[in-house]
Amino acid sequence: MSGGADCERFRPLLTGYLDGDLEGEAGADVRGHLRECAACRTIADDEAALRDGLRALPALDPPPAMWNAIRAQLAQAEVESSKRPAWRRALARWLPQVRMAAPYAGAVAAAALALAVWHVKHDGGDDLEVPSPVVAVHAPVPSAPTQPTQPAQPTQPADTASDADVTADLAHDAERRVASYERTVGRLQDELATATSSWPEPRRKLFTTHVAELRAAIAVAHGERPRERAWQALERYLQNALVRDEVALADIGGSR
Amino acid sequence: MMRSFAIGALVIAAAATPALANPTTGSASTGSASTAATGSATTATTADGVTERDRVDVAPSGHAFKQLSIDNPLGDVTVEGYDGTTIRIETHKHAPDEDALDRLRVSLVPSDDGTVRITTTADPKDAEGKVLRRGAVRVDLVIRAPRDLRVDANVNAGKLDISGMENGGDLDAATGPITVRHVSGALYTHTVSGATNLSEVSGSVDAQSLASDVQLDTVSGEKLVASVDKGKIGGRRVRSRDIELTSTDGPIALEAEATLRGRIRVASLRGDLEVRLHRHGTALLVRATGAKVDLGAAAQQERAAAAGWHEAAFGDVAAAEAAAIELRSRYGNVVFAIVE
Repeated sequence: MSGGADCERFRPLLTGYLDGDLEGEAGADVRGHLRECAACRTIADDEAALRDGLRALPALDPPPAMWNAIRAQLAQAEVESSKRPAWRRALARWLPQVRMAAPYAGAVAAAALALAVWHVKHDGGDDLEVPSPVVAVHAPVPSAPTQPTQPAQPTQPADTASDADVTADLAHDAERRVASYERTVGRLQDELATATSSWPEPRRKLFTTHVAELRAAIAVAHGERPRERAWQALERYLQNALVRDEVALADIGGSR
Repeated sequence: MMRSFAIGALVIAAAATPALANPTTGSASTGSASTAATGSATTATTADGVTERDRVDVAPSGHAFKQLSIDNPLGDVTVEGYDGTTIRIETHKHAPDEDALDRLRVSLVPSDDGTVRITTTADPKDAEGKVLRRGAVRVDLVIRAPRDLRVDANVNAGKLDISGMENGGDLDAATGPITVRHVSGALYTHTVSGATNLSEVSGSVDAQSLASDVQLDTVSGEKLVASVDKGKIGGRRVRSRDIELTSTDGPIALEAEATLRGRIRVASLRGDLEVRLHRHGTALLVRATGAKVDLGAAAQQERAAAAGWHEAAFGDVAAAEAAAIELRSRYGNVVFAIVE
């Protein structure tokens, strides 16, 4: 695992990394750090899961009064910030981004909470499993099938309609695909956490060992396609473990 | 407008030289130690922008081509097999204007090992160049190739369409669909969210998708593996000897033919399973578990099974030729039926 100094350097970049905004070496550096650092990987997984959860929520049309209230809170936060002494505002520009956002955090959190509360009320409440998007993503396997009527696409790579120049956009293709596999793998592992808890120790140990081996294969894969193949092998292994209770590596059909 | 081939449009390089470092310019034919190429190009300007169509024929000299390796993140790829030895590549490029069109590159690199690599890229913009959005440009490749080539191909959002090939392939797409018809040999497909359609395929097949459907029609061979995370798997007229279909969220419907000593394993976490089997007199042992299990009225013997499992025998399952069917869905329903 990497040391704390590395974590401090990379954590502010995680959001940009997940957005696909980091180009060239910057993206590779973050990726390299995530391979080594379980703590940062957990943070990145959580953020990715949060985004998946947000995307999975049904489209909402909150009442205008709610937006007005949110705008008012944000405006109030800006006014309070502007009243701080100039030296404090100057100092704030040199602090990590996450701390600069502190004056607004309360307002944003309040807005998020208001939306969540409104969402619960809007849907009638108590039986709703998702008071917050994070809970929705990490929720245990439901007791009844929840088949999507159409293929859900939370793992779809960002489309190519960005405003970036084509050359820069092309450079992100592999990252987007890998990010899709990372998210799916993270979700499968979340679901497996429940299943494996009831497995006998030797079985759980074998599973953990094979997952570590497959993750190691990802870490050492050179080139875009070999790295994608390694992610695909891990995804299929986890799916077979979850769906079929299979933990032997030989059970990965067609991996190569 | 006709113009000579390969003016900043299609770059051909020998394997020993970098693909883009040694462009052929202003000539109607070129070649390397192992290949000879001829071609032509036309351009047309419309209200939508500029379109250029290039065509090049690459003939082997010395030894035959063995593999076609295509990487086109800018559009569609179509590969059609034919009874011949020459590879014909048609490129259809589209851009808002001539300057943008000139940034689109198609490189063709024949290697001594028999691999022909075709790659599309976009040149970086220069300091004064305007931003060229990816959605504003397009390069489609239509390739006619000898049937016996193996095809490795990669697209992003474009369509990947392979037909009439006899040596399998390894196909990748991100959001674009993969369609394979009349293909034999070992075939691997991977998509993130593009649909996969395989029909008239003979040979071992491995299809993997994260968030899209996989459709299989008239597939035969030693092994068929298909997995989707979120999406449906549909199979009809499947005759592979070892079948393994898996979904996490999504139904699986399979209509297959039983084979001697065959094995069919269909599993889902939350999807319903429906398997209909043409038995042709083959003895079958069916094991199934699910929220509800229906093994059909034709089951000749209900057997004792482990907790949560149902078993049924069709014919003499003690015989060595008996086929084994395993169906499992943790939260979905399971239906099995014999089609006589």
